[in-house]
Amino acid sequence: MMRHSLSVPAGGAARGRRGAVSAALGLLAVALSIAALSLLRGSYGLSADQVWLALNGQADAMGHLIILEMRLPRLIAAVVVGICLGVAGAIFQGLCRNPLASPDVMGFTTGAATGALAGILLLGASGTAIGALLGGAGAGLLVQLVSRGRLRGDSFILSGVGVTAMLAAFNEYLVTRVDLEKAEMAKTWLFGSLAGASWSHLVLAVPAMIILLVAVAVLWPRMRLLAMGDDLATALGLPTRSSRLWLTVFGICLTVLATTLAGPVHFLALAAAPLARRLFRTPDSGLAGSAAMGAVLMMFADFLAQRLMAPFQIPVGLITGAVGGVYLVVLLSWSRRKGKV
Amino acid sequence: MSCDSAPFGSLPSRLGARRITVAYRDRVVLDQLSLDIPDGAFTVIIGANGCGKSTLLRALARIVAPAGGSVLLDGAEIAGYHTKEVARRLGLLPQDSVVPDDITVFDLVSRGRYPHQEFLRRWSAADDRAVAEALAATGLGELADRFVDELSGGQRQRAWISLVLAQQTPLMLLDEPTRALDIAHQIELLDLMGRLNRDHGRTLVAVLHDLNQAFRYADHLIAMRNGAIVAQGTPAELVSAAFIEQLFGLRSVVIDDPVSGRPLVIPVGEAHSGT
Ligand SMILES: Nc1ncnc2c1ncn2[C@@H]1O[C@H](COP(=O)(O)OP(=O)(O)O)[C@@H](O)[C@H]1O
Ligand SMILES: [Mg+2]
Repeated sequence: MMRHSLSVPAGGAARGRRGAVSAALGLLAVALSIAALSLLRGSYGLSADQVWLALNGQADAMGHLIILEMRLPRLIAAVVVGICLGVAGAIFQGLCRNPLASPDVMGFTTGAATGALAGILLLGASGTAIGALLGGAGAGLLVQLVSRGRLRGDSFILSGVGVTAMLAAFNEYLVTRVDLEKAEMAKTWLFGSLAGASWSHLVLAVPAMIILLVAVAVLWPRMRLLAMGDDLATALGLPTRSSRLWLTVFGICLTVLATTLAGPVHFLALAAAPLARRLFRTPDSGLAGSAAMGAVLMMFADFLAQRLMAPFQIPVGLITGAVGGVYLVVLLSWSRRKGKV
Repeated sequence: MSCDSAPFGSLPSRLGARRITVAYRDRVVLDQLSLDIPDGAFTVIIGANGCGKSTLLRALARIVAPAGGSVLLDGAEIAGYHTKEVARRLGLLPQDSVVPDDITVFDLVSRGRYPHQEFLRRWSAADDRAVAEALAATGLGELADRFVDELSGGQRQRAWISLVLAQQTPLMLLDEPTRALDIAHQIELLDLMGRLNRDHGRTLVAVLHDLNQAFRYADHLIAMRNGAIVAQGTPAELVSAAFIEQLFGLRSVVIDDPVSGRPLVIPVGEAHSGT
């Protein structure tokens, strides 16, 4: 039996592993279908041949522009945002041992949005990223302060919920304080959209994402210990405080990255990890599975955002928000069945 | 791994506390407590709810840092060790641990190998062997591939014990390992602990609630009350009706256990006492 993986041994369940492989293949098929559809369908009609030519760099100027400069970067941005939020959700749910934890519920998404808004209003579009980073860090400090440094359990979540409410109100206030043109831009941004995705964003975002993912992957064995309770984790030789701190920092950075690209996207981080766990039913899917599930969900949500009311585009944040409500109902019925509520 | 199993009685000790004071915020739970855990013995801690038994184990395992005094491990202050080094010498099964979702028995038990793993060399043949031995010792070998949340309470408790066994520490601290088990599984688990102690030379410390089980299995008994140790020694030396009254405020009759010859406590209570 192959148990010598890079991380900790894959769980022994042979049937679980076989199920996980077919689940992974199924998810990949779904991902490729959505990706193909996203490239093929749009308000400007292009045939499959034209799309193929464009991807090989042989299309006319129009095909090149539509596929390579608009649809492809948007698709990749959706994948990046989905991966970041899926992993961030897995981190916070793991730290809190609660499926209701996620960066948007706990104030980090809203904090990044506050910062980005302030950045947009002060510096224009170029202020988004630095603003989001400062805002996310500020929200992190605020939550840390309110929860008195206990980055775990329900007090962590509740502190975040409080901070979210405060910051959301502040965001509304910011929008009302500026002139009409900037307010319009800010408002569109606050709904969450990938319409502005471009290569110039991605050349920075993709390497940043990869660095963060490597850092989280290195820390993930610690998450597996924290999942059993802090006492046992400490008894096994884990420095629990610093582990929690670093995981929180990387979770916030991933959230900030996603928010910079797409604006605040709600519910995706909440749903990705539990859905992945249900699909794969192995604890090792925690990281990779959440990332994959986040990417697929975000690609799908953005496809709907573009096509549902075409030629009009809906902000993708509205789609995830609406679907998220349904998800919460489903989550409730799952936990009822498991006798946990 | 070395398990110097010096004969019990000469009281050499690898683990002990020197006048430790432990407090949660401003509430002092242990006040200047000292003790030595005898090597190679099965030590059992008894005492009423909330008297500080779990806190004592947590302090000995460096889960909480004492506000005063020091815990000594192999002659040196435990606070000075690298965390993983402590975890290679001393295992703790805490009172409340969480079973992660969707985890197999093998996966759970394999997490006990964490202190033996390093950054780049994470899983070795020695790890495989330790987990297999731990599962065999608790009779869970057949269930290695089952999901933990599909096990019975007794099997799950054995899985937790296996995790601490896989840690391969010469010292094991177990906080109420028999809780939530039916009587047959309690005895099965205590017998297992007895074998680990006798046949494998592990030094065991367990908090037990059932007094008769404590007296039956303990080589060394530590009785606590209000955060202090009121008595320690062999059950035969300590146990009497007066001792039970002092410790728990309970009237009882103490007789010889017809099976083991150890003390057997029979509470008097109100009903059926015939007096
Ligand atoms: N994490 C904690 N925070 C505050 N007080 C605690 C904590 N854990 C235990 N206590 C208190 O310390 C006392 C001793 O608890 P504990 O060591 O768990 O007792 P025992 O294990 O003997 O039942 C109790 O009064 C309990 O309420
Ligand atoms: Mg206790």
